[in-house]
Amino acid sequence: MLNNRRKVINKTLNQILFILALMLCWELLARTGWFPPLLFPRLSDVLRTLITDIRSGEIVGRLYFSLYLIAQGLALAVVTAAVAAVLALCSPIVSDWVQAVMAILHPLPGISVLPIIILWLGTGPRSIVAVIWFSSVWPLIANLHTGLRSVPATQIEVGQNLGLKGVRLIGKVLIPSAFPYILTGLRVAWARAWQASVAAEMVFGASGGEGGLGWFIYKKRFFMEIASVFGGMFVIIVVGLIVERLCFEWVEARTVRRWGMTLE
Amino acid sequence: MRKASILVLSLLVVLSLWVPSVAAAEKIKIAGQFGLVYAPLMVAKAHRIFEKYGVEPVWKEYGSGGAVREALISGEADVGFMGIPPFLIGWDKGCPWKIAMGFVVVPIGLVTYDPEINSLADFKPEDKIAVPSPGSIQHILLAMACEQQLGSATALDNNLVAMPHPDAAAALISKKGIKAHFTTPPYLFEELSQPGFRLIVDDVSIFGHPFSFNVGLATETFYNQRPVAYSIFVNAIGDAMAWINQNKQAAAELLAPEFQLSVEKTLEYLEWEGMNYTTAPYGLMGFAEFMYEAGYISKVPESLADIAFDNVLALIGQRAGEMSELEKLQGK
Amino acid sequence: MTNQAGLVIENLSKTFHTKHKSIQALSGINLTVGKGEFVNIIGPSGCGKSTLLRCIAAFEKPTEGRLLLNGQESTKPGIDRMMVFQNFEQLFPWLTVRKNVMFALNASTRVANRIEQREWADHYLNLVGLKGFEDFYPHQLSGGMKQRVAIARALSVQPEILLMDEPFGSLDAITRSALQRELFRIWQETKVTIIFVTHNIDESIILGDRIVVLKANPGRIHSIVENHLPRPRSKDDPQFNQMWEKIHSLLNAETGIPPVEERLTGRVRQDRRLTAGAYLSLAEEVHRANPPE
Repeated sequence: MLNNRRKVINKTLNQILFILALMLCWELLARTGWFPPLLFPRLSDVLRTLITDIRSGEIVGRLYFSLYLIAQGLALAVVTAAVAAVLALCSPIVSDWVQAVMAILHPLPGISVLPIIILWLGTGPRSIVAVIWFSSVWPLIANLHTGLRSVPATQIEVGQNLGLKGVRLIGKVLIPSAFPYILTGLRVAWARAWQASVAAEMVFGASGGEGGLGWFIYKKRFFMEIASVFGGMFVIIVVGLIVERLCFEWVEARTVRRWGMTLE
Repeated sequence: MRKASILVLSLLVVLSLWVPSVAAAEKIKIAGQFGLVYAPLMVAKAHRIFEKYGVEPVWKEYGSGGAVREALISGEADVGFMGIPPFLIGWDKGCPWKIAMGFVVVPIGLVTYDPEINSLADFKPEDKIAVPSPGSIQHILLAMACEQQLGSATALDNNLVAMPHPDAAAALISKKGIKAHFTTPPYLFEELSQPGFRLIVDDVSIFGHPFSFNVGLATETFYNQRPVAYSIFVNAIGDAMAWINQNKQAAAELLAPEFQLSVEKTLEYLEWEGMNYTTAPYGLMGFAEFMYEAGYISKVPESLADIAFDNVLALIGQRAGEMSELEKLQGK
Repeated sequence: MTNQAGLVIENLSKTFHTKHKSIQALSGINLTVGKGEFVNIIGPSGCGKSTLLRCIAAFEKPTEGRLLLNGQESTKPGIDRMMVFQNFEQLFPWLTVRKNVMFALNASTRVANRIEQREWADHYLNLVGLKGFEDFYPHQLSGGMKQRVAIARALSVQPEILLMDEPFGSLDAITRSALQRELFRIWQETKVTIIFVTHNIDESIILGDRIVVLKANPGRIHSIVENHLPRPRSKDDPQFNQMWEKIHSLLNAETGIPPVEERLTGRVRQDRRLTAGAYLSLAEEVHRANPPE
């Protein structure tokens, strides 16, 4: 156990050192002057502008807006997926339908439906929420569907034996039992939502006042503030890592790993 | 393993010796965009004007001035065309390039269908205004108009939405999503021919006089290292413009299929009041001064020589005593 | 007759319908199980012994016949008949041992107060010998301990009947006999009625007051053997062996060729320390000796 922990720490340390070395190479390479700073700014410049952009409140506001849209899109996707998966659980016909729709639409990148969504919903934040929803709903449904299907029949019967049925049975037995799948679904959904929100804003450029990080990068690109473009990318990476490594790992350690329910 | 690498190496050596000998004609990589504004490029291509001068043009098409700028920076193109503001943003950030020619003077303005909106002051926070991209000439002109009418260049920044012209025109005509579109021909003409669609502000009311909507640029490297190719570029584009100006009917017939318009419509657009294909630049300094004051760029060119090559300086001239008309037209 | 205390099964039949054919699993079962009785059901594979248990639990609807519990017809699953499965998955892996028991008390609304739920849970966990393991998660337990939790959970809601579907079938021989002794003790302490399905002759003799021998195709009652051997029952008792031979012959008479498994238990009985590998090679040996037609 302790040995294992030390291994993990060593690995993380090794990775951090490597990243730091890469960053140092970046700075040194940029300082040689072999490349025009327009294409390849110094890391120190990138960090300096990033701090300026954070201090000015711009990055924070953009980040807040992106996360706000993602929260809406993901919430909608979770509700949709829950309804679809529960209906599919109740009726084999609906299950066939859900599987068919999933097979057709799941491979479609969320961003590719953007032109249609703009036609239907206009260019406001609503469209971005719709793209986020579309990007994240399929992995959620797929995992929820598989998760509910893989609940052992014995557990359901134990629940029935104790007088549970309908919503109580779903809430007390099916959902917890399918939780490892639900968590995986949420993880994939989050990653896709995060990518979709940035991509959507970079395609149609949300309105100036209410854009997220995608719009930040998009705008900085047109004003040729390349250091800020890198800064925006940093923020996207860092937030992605925080949610993935801290939030999801934290939940996973306290749930499926503690319960011995990790999916292999 | 070693044999294979020797083989690959020798192949590479042979290829590197052989390739230049095949590419006999000198190549000019030209970064343009699509639309009525770029008609001279289409004519030069169709009439093989560059080839007549003995060079081979490589035509590249991009979706925005920003993209053309990136093509020039990365060396994907030698010369390109974009609005004065994107050019100035690049110049401000140290892009090694200058203006090689004016390109076209066209009517431009903000179109709306909403009877409630008669001036910039009538835009409510939820009314969206489409521009092709941030920092585009349309965006800067809107900012100029905002400063004049509303007292702040950024007054309507929160209403902006970046959309390519065709999408924005479709959205405006179907009255979906956006309330107004800052646009150029032919979208401007198309939108204005819809019942109830009208201009709230236009180029001359904002700028005071006509200005070059686009300019042709060349990198310093290209200008310094390939002077012959550079002068061919300037001359060939000039030839194409002159031909359009003097043969509107023939030009319309040539261009109509490209734009998927009827010949009549194309001709109507080419002869629209204000259209002028000319290599003479207008308004170069006017944009720089405004953009500096509004904070879009950090410095103003000390003289035209900072941003234009010699052929442009010669074209504008430098009158002893009071400025000439063309010199005056460079300001606002 | 119908007002009698305990469980009365009247003329119960069950037919499963699949797309292409119907399989009659049970036919004309009549059985009465008195209050507090310990009844074993034994039979060859596929004789419908599990189906019978599932019909009693009302997980399956009988095609014909009915079930009366204390004179009342019971058609839905309920906490008066609690099932303990063979499958280790019957525990909820996301709940600790104690919470698994509390879950039953809470879901069945048997006990509403959380503090009382906890006390009850600890009482029953103590009864099955799991004191000290209350805060473990199921995945941290051995197979035998898991089955103890399942028994504690089933008992905690104080059912009238405990239905046990080969609960020790997946355990090794030593754990198995330990749990058999434990179950006997628990039965004596709680006075609960137990219906215990097994295919292990030893197990049926050690545990039951009566042994219901089923035969297959369709599943019906072959005979019922009263088991009055003195407790605690020992396999070294000559009477035990007589009973063993009797049930064995009943099962064999039913199938003609006894199932490999049954014959194996006969051999395994001689050598309790059989490892898995030896068991498998033994199975092979029996197969070779009696090639299936």
